[in-house]
Amino acid sequence: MLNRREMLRLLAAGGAAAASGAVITSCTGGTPGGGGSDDGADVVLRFGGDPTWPFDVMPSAEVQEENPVKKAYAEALQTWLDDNPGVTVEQVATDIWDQQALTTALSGGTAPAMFPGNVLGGWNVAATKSAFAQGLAADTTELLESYDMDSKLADYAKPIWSTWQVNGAYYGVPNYFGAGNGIYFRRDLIAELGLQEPQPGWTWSEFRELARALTDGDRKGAAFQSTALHVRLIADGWLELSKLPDPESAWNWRWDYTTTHADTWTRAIEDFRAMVFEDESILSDVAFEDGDTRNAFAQGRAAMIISNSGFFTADPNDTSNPGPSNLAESLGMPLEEVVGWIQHPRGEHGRFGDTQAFMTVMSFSPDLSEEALDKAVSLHDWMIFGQGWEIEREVLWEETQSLQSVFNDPAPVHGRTEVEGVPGDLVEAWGEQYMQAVEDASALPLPPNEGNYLPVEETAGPALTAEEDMESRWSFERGNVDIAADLANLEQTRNTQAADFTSSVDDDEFAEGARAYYEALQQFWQEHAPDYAADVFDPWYEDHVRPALG
Amino acid sequence: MTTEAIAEPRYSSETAIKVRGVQKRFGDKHAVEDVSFDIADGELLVLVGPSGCGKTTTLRMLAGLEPVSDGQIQFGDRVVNEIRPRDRRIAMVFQDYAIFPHLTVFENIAYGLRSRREARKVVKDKVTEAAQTFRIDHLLTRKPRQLSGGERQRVALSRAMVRDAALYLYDEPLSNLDAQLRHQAREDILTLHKNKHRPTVYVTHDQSEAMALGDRIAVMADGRIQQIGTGSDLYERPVSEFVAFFIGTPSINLFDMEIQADGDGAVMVGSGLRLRVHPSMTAAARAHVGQRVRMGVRPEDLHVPRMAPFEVTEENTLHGIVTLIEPTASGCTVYLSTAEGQDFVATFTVRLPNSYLDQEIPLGIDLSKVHLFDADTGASLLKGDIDAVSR
Amino acid sequence: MTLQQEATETAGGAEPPAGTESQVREPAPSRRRRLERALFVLPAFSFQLTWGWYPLLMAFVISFTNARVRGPIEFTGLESYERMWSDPLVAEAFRVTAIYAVLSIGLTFFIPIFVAILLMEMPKRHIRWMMLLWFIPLSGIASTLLFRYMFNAQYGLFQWIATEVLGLEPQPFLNSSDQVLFWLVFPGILFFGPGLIYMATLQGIPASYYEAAEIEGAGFWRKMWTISLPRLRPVISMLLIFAVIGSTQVFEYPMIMTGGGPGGASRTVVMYLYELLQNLRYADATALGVFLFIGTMLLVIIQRRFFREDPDA
Repeated sequence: MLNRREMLRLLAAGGAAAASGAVITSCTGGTPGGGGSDDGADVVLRFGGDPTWPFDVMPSAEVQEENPVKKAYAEALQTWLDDNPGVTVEQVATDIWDQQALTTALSGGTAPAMFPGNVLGGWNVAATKSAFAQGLAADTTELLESYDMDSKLADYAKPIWSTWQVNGAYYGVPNYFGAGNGIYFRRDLIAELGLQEPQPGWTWSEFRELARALTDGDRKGAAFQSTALHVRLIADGWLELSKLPDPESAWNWRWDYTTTHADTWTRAIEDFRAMVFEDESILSDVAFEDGDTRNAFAQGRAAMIISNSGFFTADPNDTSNPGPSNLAESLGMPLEEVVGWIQHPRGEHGRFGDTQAFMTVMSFSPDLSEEALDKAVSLHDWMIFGQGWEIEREVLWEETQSLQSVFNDPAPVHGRTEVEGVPGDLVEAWGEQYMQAVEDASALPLPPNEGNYLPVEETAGPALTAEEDMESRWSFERGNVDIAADLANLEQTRNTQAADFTSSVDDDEFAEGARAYYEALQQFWQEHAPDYAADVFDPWYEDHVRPALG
Repeated sequence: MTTEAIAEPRYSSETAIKVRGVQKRFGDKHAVEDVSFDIADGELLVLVGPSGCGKTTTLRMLAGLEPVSDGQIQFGDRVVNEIRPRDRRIAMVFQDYAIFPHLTVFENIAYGLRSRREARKVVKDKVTEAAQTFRIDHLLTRKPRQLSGGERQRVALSRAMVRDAALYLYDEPLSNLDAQLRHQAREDILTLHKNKHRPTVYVTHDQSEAMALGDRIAVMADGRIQQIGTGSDLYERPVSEFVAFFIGTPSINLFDMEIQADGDGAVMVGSGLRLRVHPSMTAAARAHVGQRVRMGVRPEDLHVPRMAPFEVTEENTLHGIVTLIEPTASGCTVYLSTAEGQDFVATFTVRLPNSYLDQEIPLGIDLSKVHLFDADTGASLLKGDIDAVSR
Repeated sequence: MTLQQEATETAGGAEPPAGTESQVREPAPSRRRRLERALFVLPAFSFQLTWGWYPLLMAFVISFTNARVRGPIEFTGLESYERMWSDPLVAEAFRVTAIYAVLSIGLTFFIPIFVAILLMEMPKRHIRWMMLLWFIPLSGIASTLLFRYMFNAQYGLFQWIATEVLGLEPQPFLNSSDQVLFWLVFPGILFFGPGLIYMATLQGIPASYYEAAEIEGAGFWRKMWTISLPRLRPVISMLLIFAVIGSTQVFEYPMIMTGGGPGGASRTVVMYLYELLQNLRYADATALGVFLFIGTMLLVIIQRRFFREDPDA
């Protein structure tokens, strides 16, 4: 899975000027049509991307011969096509992973039938929801019901799926579930050094100790990108405590980094910087991307990294992007004995960290005819949740006899861990320890989502840029850093930016929604992190939130 | 500018410039082999020769633009081999004039003075005076692009004029001008030279230019000086067939002959001729009896018999068929061919009617003025006659 | 005609034939000829119109609207401009861009002029090697990825040079808001191409200019000031416009190297504009683009004042 920054960098190669020019030019267009809609019985579904995503056109006989995955896919697709006469699938050039290319195609009415909805907002959830609110994807609310999505979705995927509601409607279908980010660690080194393996509920000070103990010469305890500090701050309430409702103001929100929890932030930031600059147990650089930290881990240069649960199952044949399997192979040990994965450490008051379920949404072109949209959803349903998925597994087993190839997703969106005709299951494929860790992470409760209580804004509002800037500064700046001044600066920047935005939500409606949201949030923390609720959240809620909402 | 002007070096000696055994090698190639000459104060020496003969390289070594591979160059009593061009106190006019297109005429002329940080007033006076001398004082604010070729050349001359140089150098300065402007430009160069009265070296490939300008002329070929002397020295007493052929237009006629003793005297036989050696050359000729020689006859030493200043007999007559008659200002140039098929040229002070075309006519040879050269080496056999030759 | 050829010919000393000032005026073209000309110009003109002026104009129009990709577009007046004007990150991005431009023009534009002039004093063989080095066609992305590793403060080549070869304290390189812009510009000193164009232009200056100057008593510096630089001037002028525009529009390189960090210290205007696009804030992005356009045009106008068209006229 690509993170946002990585996406940006890939896109950067294409040149922004051209992209923005294209978007600008196309803004005035908007003639509907195309996009795979055809009246009558014949429906053409067009798929974009390179390689085509999510579904390929029918692979040739030679390709099927060479690649068992393609052969399995071909059989599944053919069965669906046989059941749906009149539907053909085609490939188009649109790069659906390029936000600008995709929005351009959408504004011009030439978008492919399906695309990853998250791309619309550049993998930023708030921006993606704004894009949905603007009608950049087809409304699928009714189809979800007719395809009985609720019963097909795994229990652990339901809470995250519900956060994709936009003002009561859905603009896509669940496509992929991830148990979220966590920490990969070297099980073999910990055993060798006689250290304690991290357990769910561990803390950041335990992390720091472990990183220090695992540091040895050229091998660092951990490798970090700038998101690491963000992850760390979240465990102390960074997301909820830095922002206050303010119905009096135009944007309805203001930011506060200085008056309530500046000490907490300063402590966390200083502790983080001490790991990097005093303990020297962290491999980190402003230029680091996912690939850099992952390679450092897979090549044994860092004993821990932050990555999503899916990295564990990285394809060992893709040697340009080595993963845990490659590391285990190079050490001549079983994967399970070398690499472990664990949810993020907790904060000072026991608030759990940033290990949060993640979901990719499959969205559909708003220009599809009703029939074409139905066929597109049907195909997706077949391939991801239905018989198509089973057929694919069976063929894969026949062709590869490898459970890891068959069950290549540790937390499938439908939660199915077995298939008829395949001896063995998901746990057998990846080992009990890892599966347990994924299960634990997937079971972490999801805090109430703002979007489920408050109407979604038509514009995403002030971007996260200012906050990300400070996190990057605190993570990498080698000289002296005045954290108090930085926090004040950050607060001022965000509030100055917010002052020029006007909310599309009515003030009363906002206040009402916000009250419900914060009540739910209070309840949530009282239930799931009582210490955090008692020591931090409740007093803050009483002193600052309640008065603001009247 | 408050800085004092930077003084140019002074040289002192009777002979201004001495060049001694100078050589220039580019890799294995000898561009200049062992060249020596002197230039007296106020003398204009012309280096002339076909292209590739080493004349320009010699000039550039004098300027210091090419290092000397071997030998010595002396300005006065000072050896300048290792001295940079800008410290040699020289002025040079380039073939392409090398005036700077982004500077005004004034700044171009003043360039050298400014380099020496001359006072503003001095610069202005000198530039104005030089520009007046060469009739470009009305163009001082123009850029070179707005000037004609002749005007540009005068800018280059003015730039040399304002300088007080120990040696003035000209590198084919007239070759980019058309014929009409050349005459005027030649006058301008002589004006500059007379004004300065300093040692001057002038390089050209045009022998007539050399003859017109040079106090002395050095003919170069294959990196060596073949002969050095006044124009009449070279014309009347060439040391080699090469010099004889190079100097003079139209070129000297050459005939293959063999010397035979004839009583007290000698005769030359060959090319269908039998000619008596002139008494003034008999001694020299008799030293080479039985040998093959080349006889050189200048076109003006061939005469129509009735107009010849000497008696025309069997032993000094050449027969030729007229192939072309070219009228000239003072008479005509006649192209002829012997019965053996050898082409030769004669110039007359009278006009020959076209009726002579294709006719065979007899011509008297002024045998007192012919030249004899060794058929193998090309060296003159009449050397005893000639002034010392510098090599 | 390539840029280089043009540059060489502009600065070269090949003098035009005498008396060019009195050029013969062409007679008025016939109708047929005018039509032909129009037809030849048409493709380029419509291309420019479609891909040059139209997007520019539309960007301008869009900056006054809410710029929704789908749905009704409403005019919002100067709202986007006000938002961009007061956004502290916009001011910061302009500051970063200005410093980047000054550094990159100073280090990768002006320094090569003097390096090229010095190189011309070297033997021909060395000149050829240097030109080769400058000409190595390093692809933008590939060399950027290479430099990402070389700049790593923990295991990069530059750190090794700093500590092991030069015996300095470990340097932060890109991990310092004070140094990051310098290090981003730094590789350009070695590998950026104007040096090649300068050298080609210098080689086109007739040797006799230098020889005449030398004979007229000019030393190295005077030759540089009175010949090399004036002859390079048209090329410098033209390349400077490209450099100014290029450095105010810089995007890919810092994007890939640092993503704008640390703390926004290397986020240029176009990078911020791109972030706005990522957030679907098209109107704000185009308003910011208009600011940048105005700023760049001002610089170009100032530049034109300093460099007259033709030093020889």
